[in-house]
Amino acid sequence: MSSQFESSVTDTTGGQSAESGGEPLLSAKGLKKHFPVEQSFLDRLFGDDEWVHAVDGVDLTLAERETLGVVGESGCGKSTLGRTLSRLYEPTAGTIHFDGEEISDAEGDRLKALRKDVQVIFQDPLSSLNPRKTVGEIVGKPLAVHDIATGEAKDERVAELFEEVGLSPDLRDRYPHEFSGGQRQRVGIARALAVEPKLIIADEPVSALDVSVQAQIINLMKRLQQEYGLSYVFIAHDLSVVRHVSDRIAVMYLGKIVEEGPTHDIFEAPAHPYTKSLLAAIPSITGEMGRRTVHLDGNPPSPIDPPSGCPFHTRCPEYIDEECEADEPALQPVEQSAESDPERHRSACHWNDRDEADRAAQSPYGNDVGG
Amino acid sequence: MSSQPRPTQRAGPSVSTTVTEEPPLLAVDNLHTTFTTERGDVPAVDGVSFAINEGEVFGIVGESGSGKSVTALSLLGLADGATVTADRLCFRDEDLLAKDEAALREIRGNDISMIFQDPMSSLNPVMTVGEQIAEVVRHHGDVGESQSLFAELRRKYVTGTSESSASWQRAVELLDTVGIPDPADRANEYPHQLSGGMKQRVMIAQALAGDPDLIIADEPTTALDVTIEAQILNELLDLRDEFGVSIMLITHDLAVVRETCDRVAVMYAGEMMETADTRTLFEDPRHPYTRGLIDSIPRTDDDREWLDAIEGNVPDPTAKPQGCPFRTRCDAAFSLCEEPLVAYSAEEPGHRTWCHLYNDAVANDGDEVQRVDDAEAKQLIQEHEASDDLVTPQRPNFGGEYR
Repeated sequence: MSSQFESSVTDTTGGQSAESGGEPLLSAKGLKKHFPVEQSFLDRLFGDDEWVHAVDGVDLTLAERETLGVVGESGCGKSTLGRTLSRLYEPTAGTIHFDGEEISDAEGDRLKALRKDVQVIFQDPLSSLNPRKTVGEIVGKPLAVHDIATGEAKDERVAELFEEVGLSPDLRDRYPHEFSGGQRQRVGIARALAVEPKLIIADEPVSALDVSVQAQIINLMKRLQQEYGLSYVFIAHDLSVVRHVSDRIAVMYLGKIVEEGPTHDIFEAPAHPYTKSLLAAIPSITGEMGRRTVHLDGNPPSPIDPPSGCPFHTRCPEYIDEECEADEPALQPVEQSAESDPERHRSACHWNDRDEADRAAQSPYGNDVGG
Repeated sequence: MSSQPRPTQRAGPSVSTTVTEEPPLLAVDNLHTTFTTERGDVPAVDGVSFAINEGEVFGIVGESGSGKSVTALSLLGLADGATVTADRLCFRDEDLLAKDEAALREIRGNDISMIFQDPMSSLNPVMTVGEQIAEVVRHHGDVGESQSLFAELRRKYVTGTSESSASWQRAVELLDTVGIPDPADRANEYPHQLSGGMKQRVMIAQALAGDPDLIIADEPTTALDVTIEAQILNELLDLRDEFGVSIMLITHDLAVVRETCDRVAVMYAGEMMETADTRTLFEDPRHPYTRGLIDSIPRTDDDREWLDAIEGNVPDPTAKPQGCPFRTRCDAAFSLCEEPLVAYSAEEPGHRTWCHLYNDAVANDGDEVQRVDDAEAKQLIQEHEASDDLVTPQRPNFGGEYR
C-alpha cells in the first residue's frame, strides 16, 4: 500500500491548485486510530484486549486550496479521521505532515500553533457553541487565545467576520439558542475563520440543516475558500453534497480508504464495488422515478473485529473468490476507464488485477455504472 | 383563513391510482393546530387541506418548522396541549375531532399507526422487541388473549409472553414480513442489539401489528445511511403493494418523495404551498418555494458552480408575516402576497398552488389560471406595480443574511 503511495505522492497534489505543485499541504501515511473497548476486570487480567479499529491505515494527501471529500456510511471512521488529522485525537500509529512539518506528535506550544492553522467545523453547531457565551464572545475567543487581537481591534475583527459569513454584526450580543441552525453554522464558520487558518476540517457541516439553508452554507464555504485560499477536508455522508464541493473524493469503509480519485472519475467511473453501491443508493431528484435498486444488504461489520482480507468482502456484490477473504487488496491505480487519470484514481479491489469482461458479466451493476 | 374562498376545483382523486368516486380514506380540510406559549400563540399548522386515498403513498414535504409532523400528530389526537380545529377531519367518513380519547385509542393502532424518526427513542429499551410487538398484537390485533392489567403485568414482570402464544407467533411473523432474518431469534433481542435499519424494521412491524389502513411514517429514514434508507423505503412500498395499506410519508427530502410517493403536498411555515401528483410536482412545479427547494438540492448530474439557495430563514412562528409566509424570502413577491393565501388550481387535476402569482389579476387568460414562468411573472408583476390598484410592498430586510 505504502509503496504505491510513495510513487504517486507528488502526482496527487492536483486539484485546482496543480500550479502550486511541490509539497502537499497535508499528508498522512499509515494513519491509525484505535480506541480501547471498555473491558471487564477479567478481560484485562487475561490480556483480552479489544480495540475499535476506527481508522486503520489511511494514506492521503491534500493540496493547498483543494477540497478533499471523505464519504462513507456511519461508523466507517470518517469523523475519527477528521479529528485525528486535526490532532484533536492522538494517532495510534502513522504520521501526519502539515505544511512540511511532522505534526503527529506535536504537543504544547507546537500544538497550539497548529490550532491556528487547522480549524474544525462541527456537524451540530448548537452543541459546539458555548450556550452561556454570546456569539460575539465565541467568535472573539480564538483571537484572544492566539494573541491576534484584543480590545477594540478584536471587536472590529469580530464585526468583520460576522459580515464575512453573512450575519449582521448587530447580532453579536445574542446567545446561540436565539439563532436558527443555518445562522449557528455561520457562527461556527466565523469562529473557524477568525484565526485565518490554512486548513478547515468540516465534519458533516450541513447535514443537520434544511436543504434551502444547506445550499446557503455550501455556497458560503465555497466563496470563503476562494477568498481566503482555504483547503478543506469535507466529511459527509451525502454524496451529492460532497460531489458539489470536492475536487477529490476518498471513499472510506471500515477505517480504510477503498477508493480515491478526482470527483469526476469517482462519479463517472467508480472502480470499487462499494463506491458503485453507494452511488447506486443515492436518492435522485432527476433521472428515472421510482425505486432505487440497491445491491448492498445489511450493515458494515463491527470495526472491533474487522473481516480478514478485503474489509468489504462480506457485503460485496462483486465478490470474486477466496482471494477476497485472504488478501487485503492494496490501493492501486485504476486503469479501467480512459477518462480517468490512473495515477490519481486509485482503488483497493482485487478486480484491478482481473479481467474486466468477467467482472461486467458478474456485476449486478453491469458495465455501465455511475454518471 | 377559514373564510377564504375555496378553490372551485376540489383536490381530485389520485392520478396514479384508479380514478374512482370513492371517498378518500382520510380527508383533512382547513386544519389548524395552535400551541399557546409564553411568547404568544404559535400556529404550527395553519389551514392545511389534503386527502389520502386507499392504497396511496402520500408525501408531506417541508423544512423543519413547516408543521408537517404536527399535522400528523393532530390527526391522531396526539398534539399535546394544542388547540386543533378543522372544517373536516375524517377517516372513512368518521369525524376524528368528535371522538373521545377511548375511541381515538381504538383508531390509533387499529386503523392508523405511526412510525417515528428515531426508533431508539420510541422502542422500549428494557423489553425484547418480540415482547413489544406482541403487546401491540394483543391490544390491536385479534388473537383472543387476555389483555387485562393483571395479565399484562404478569407477562411483563413474571412470565414474559409465552413463545407458543398466538401473539408471540404473530410478532415473529411480522418481523419476518418486514425482512428481518432469523425472526424467531431476533424477537428475543433487545433494541440496543439491533442496528438502526433493523430497529426501523421493528418499528414498521409494530405499526403493522394492528393491521392498519393507514401508516403515518414521520421521517422514517432520516437517521439512516442511504443504503439502509433505500431498503426501508422499498420495504414500505412492498407493504403497500402487498396489503394495500395507505402511507402518509413525512419527510424533508424531496428525493425520497420522488421515488416513493404517488402524490405530495409541500408545506412551509404551517401552510400548504403546493400539492400535486409527484411527477407533476417535479416536472411542472408552480410555487416559487417548490422551485426553490428543487433548485437548492445538489444533484449528481449538475455542474453548477453555485447552488441556487433560497436566501433567508424560515420565519419565527410567533411572528409570521401577514399573507403568504414565504413572501419574505420569495424573489417573485409582489403586492398581492400580503393577502391571505388561496389555492389556485392548475390544468392538471389535483394540482393546486397556494401562490398569488396564479391569481387572475396577474395571469388572466380566460377561465383557467394560466401557468406563468418566472420571466413572464416578473414582467406581469412589473406591469401591475405600475398600475394603481396594486401597490408594491417594501421588500423586507434580510438582516445582513448571506450576500
